[in-house]
Amino acid sequence: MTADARDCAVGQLVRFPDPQLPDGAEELRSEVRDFIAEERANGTVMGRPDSWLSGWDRGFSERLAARGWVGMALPTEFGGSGAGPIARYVVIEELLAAGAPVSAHWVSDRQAGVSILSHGTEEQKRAFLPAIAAGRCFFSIGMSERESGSDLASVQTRAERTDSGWRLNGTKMWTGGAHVNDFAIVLARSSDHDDRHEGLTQFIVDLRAPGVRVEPIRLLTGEHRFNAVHLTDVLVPDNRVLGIEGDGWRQVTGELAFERSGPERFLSTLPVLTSLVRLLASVSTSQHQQSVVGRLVARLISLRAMSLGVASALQAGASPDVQAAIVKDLGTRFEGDLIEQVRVVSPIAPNRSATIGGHAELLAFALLHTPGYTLRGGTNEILRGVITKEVTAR
Amino acid sequence: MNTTISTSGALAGGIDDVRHDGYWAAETPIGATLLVAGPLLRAAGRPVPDGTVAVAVAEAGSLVVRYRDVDRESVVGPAGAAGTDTALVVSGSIARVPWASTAGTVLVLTDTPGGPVVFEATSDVTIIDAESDLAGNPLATLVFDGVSVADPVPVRRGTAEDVRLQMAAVHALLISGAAERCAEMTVTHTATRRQFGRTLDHFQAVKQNLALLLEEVALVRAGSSLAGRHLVAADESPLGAAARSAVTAAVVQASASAGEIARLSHQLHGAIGFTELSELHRFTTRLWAWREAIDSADWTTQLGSTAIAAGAEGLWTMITATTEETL
Repeated sequence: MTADARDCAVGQLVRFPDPQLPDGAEELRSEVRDFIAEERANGTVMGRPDSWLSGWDRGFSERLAARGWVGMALPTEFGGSGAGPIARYVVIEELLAAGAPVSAHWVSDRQAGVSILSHGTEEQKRAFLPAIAAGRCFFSIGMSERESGSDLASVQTRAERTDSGWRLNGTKMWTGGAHVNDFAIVLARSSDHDDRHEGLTQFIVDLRAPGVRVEPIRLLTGEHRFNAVHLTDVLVPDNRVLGIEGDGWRQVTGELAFERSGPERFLSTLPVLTSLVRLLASVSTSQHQQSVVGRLVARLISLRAMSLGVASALQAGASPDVQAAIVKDLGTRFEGDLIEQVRVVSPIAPNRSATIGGHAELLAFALLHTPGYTLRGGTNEILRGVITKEVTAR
Repeated sequence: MNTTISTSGALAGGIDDVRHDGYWAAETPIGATLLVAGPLLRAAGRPVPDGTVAVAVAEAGSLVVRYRDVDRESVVGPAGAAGTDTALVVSGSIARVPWASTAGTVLVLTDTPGGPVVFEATSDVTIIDAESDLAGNPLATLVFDGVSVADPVPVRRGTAEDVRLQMAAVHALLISGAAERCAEMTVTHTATRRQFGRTLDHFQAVKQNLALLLEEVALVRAGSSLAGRHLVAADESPLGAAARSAVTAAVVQASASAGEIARLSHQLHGAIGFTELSELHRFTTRLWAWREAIDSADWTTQLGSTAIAAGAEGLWTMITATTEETL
């Protein structure tokens, strides 16, 4: 790289697209707010942090879908709304900010549906997409294994050919929701190559099929969110191969911008700041408290501008993977920083045993979830390698 | 330079010009000219002078302002609180005004018994480069010794507060520009400097810090771009609540990131960046100087107070409003 090329690369990387909200976004936002207010009144939306991991409510997912707000990235012919990335962004940021229970449909809505739309057969699209968009079909993502975290190409789950399809053997780890979901998209090695990135294939696995055993892996809080999914001679028919055999690596890395840059990468702990503000609004506050809140709000506004900028680029058909990685590193660090900062100026200490939904319990809950923010979906250290590579390509 | 064009297109260009000024280690008050003086004079229906304009805002109590031609019949008496015309007499001083000694025009904003006004400093105002900022650039003190101001321009109440915020926004944009130059220089240095037989950017610890630097630069840029769009949209009008939130956020973020950007740039440059043998210091010292110019403590507590006052119901709305109104 020449010096000029490096300067140019730096410029392109740090200049994010301007957030562009289309006409109708404000109207959509207020409709979502009305819906949330109604749900809140019914006790189903409780302002909880990390609600896309821990807020499991099939009924809520179905009611949301009835409004057309699940599978928004999917075209109408498959039951989606075809509204596009920005409209979806507006809906999900409202839901996350309100701490709504969105984890049941989260992975289906964000990834599985989009993957099936991009790589699936016509039959697969018909079989899965309308059910996903209706909030009645829930997916897990089976990528990680005990020996494969960030290094995804090292997966050891094997797929062997049979007469009518494939036989899968192996164990997927940290699989969110596998104990309650319907299907998983499993990445497995279907052939051996010198280049590890070759010979990987994605399979749509029925989590209730014979040979699938789901074993809880509890979080450090004791919550059951993750699982080990043991696959023993699980038969997957040919028509449940997702995309092209051997093309799994390209398929899983091709849509990273969607997974990295969304509002769930910086809003997971916002409900705790909201809860702090609720406490402070009615008392006189110190300069320290004001400046802590001010600094957090400033960073949040700036981060959101970046994240919305990436969404605007996605809407325009671009795929800004590396800028998305920047959002994910900054945003997930912010989620943890927010908790540390709020803790310092909170008039109440975190307490796991306190009344559910009170500041002490929310703070404790979000604090105990802190390690996850900067790990899930690929660790921040690995993301930083991706970011640096963009300006140091040799 | 002619800055008399009053379309928001010109102002949008102004946002980029100010950022470039930071990127090239500014030695002119171009930000104050384009983003503060221009909209202020246009709103008052006055022509914008050619050339650069430094803006001096008189803090409460720094100037004594009276009417020159006292209305002795007035109920407030002979103290100069009411005049037979609008001419003023001004005494006192305004300190720490960047580039006042080299700018083509110095515009003074002050409160008077009849409300806030702006006027151009004439040769009767003594301008001394009394101090320098952390980058070694001059900060002038303006001394008014019974200076007569024949034709002050009245501006709307609340102007001073908007101007303070606009000046802070100028410094956020300058920080953003200088930060980008720091990132470029640091990427180049780590790509060319060899130690242990490899260029520095082969080392994992260096890669990690380089990414953190790029991220912080991107964050400042995104915040200040959003602020810039609000300034352009408001142009000659007062800043609304959403614009104030967006601009204040950009200012607070630039101030918060400036130190980290300077720290990482220097750490990755090693000894050379700490000496005259590298240009890096021209940009990092400006990051430190412009951070002081922002007066961040005030803006940070103000943004926090606004957020707390918005309450649990209004906090999120305050944040989303920054990308919805008028953009």
